Amino acid sequence: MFHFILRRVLQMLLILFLVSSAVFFMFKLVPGDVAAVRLGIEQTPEALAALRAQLGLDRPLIVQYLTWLAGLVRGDLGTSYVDGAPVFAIVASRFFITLELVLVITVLSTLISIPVAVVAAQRKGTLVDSGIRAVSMVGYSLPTYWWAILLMLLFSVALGWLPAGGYVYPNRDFGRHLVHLIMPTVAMVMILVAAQVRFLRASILDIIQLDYVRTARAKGLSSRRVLYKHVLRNSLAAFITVVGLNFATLIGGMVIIEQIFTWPGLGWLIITSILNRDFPVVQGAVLFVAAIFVSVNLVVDILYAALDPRIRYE
Amino acid sequence: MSERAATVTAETNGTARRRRSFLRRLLRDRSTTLPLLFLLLLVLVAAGADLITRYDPLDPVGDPLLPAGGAFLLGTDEIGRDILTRVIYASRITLAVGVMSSVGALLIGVPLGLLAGWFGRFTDAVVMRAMDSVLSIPPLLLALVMVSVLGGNVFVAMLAIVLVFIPHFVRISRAEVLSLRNLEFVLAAQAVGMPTWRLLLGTILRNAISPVMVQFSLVFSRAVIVEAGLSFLGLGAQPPTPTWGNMLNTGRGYLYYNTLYAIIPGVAIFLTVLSLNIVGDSLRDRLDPRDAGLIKEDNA
Repeated sequence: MFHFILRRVLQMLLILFLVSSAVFFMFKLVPGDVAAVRLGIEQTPEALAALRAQLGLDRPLIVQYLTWLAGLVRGDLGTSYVDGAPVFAIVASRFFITLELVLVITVLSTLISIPVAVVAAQRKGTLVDSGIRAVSMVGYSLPTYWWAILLMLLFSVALGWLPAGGYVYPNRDFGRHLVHLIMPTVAMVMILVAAQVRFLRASILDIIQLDYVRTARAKGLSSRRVLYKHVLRNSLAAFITVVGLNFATLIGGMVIIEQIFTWPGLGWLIITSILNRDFPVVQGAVLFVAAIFVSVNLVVDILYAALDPRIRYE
Repeated sequence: MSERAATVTAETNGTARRRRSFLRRLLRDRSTTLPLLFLLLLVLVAAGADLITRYDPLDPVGDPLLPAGGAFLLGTDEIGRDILTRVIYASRITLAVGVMSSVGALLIGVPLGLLAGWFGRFTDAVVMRAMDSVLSIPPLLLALVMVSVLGGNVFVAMLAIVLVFIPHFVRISRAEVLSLRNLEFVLAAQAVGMPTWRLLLGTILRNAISPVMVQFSLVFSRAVIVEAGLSFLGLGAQPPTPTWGNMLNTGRGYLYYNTLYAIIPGVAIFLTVLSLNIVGDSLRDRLDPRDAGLIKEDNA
């Protein structure tokens, strides 16, 4: 197990190195001079040269790259072009706003998908199963942005029950904070439940066909006991992996939902920074998202290997 | 030698027969009839847009924000262009970007996967770590970053979508090589001296084509969603070119004037993605040997 974890950690570090290098060189492709953009109309040749020296842009590319990598190791992601604040602090503060939303979405979608998938698998081929499969297919195909607009149209414009968007800090008014949480949560939960039900139902049906399940039935165990004790327990190991990966993807994948519902998280930060051409923030946020993704992936891999020792030998 | 060659030929002929019967089964599957008809209709609408509508998608043809009905079935937009005409023309961008980016990802991803799976070791490690790096960033975010660096237009959006989906084809084709490389007909082809490139692109790829086809239909549907997402955020095709994504984004600002403005482009995206997903699911079901009846289940 130790060698397995060590190998995965080394792989994770390698991936982070590759992503950070790709991100660094990709942003060097941006046309125009960063120093000139920052100075705007106030630029003089002297001021331009001074700022270029201050930002290290007058040094060879490889030196800039190594300096940037050294900064990364210390957790220094640079400073924002807009307000000069440290990128790490900006990204971290927005991360917690996204994290709250993603946690609520993940917990709710998991609690809903497990019983729904079990019912669909238990009643395979019946009207109930067909109904659940049809609804999941519809949910799985819904574009987030359109679904969010439909919800807004119904609950804000037509019924006036919920605010169309915005964010209230929990320490200011916790009740209103929760009310603002409802629509972005519902918008994502429907889509996530659809994908998770499809996966778990298929996984349960795959396992039901295995020999050991037939043996358990032959021993005279009740269908209920076979399903919960022998089938579901094994299906859940793979399901946890999917939930973990969905969670990691959502951290950086909330761009559109946050933009539609003006939820000031990481996705909102990324899109506004792209539109403001504040590249250090975009760079830092993308790296942060990638780091979260590979870390969650690592934890999920280790959990999975702990649950299923065959994984370690592959 | 002739016996071994015959084994290879028999194997590939068998594959071709299975593929033909599989296509027949797909066309007979009632659940895919409507989606396939919808996709066919979409292609016809995109190709014959000029014949279907008499209005120009870029020029105002009436007063701004006219309600649905009369001469303008879905009403007019904020500068008086016919919304239905723009929805029809927008299908061209969606189909073009969807097909071209999925084909691009397939053309790069499949050979990379074949090489990684066949040569293993260093080649495999380099290719797979590069793919893991791409996969560590959510698709839309990666596309957003590329577009923000290289500029927002259709071509860059397409490039970004190609990059996002290459790993999906690499993984699937690599897995196929790993499962096929030690089978008898591959060993026989190697033994008769078939060159590696011919073995990979001919024998192995021919047998791996089914999962690649399934992957293609799923990537196509995701590509449509990502393209519309980029346009929705103002980073895909730029106005005045109509796309379903940018119409949806503009339309949501006029929900009180004309609800259909935001709803219809969304319906178009949804139905396209739904049809592609149903066809993809059916492809996958047909290709499962248990469902196809190629393996008799002993517990049936």
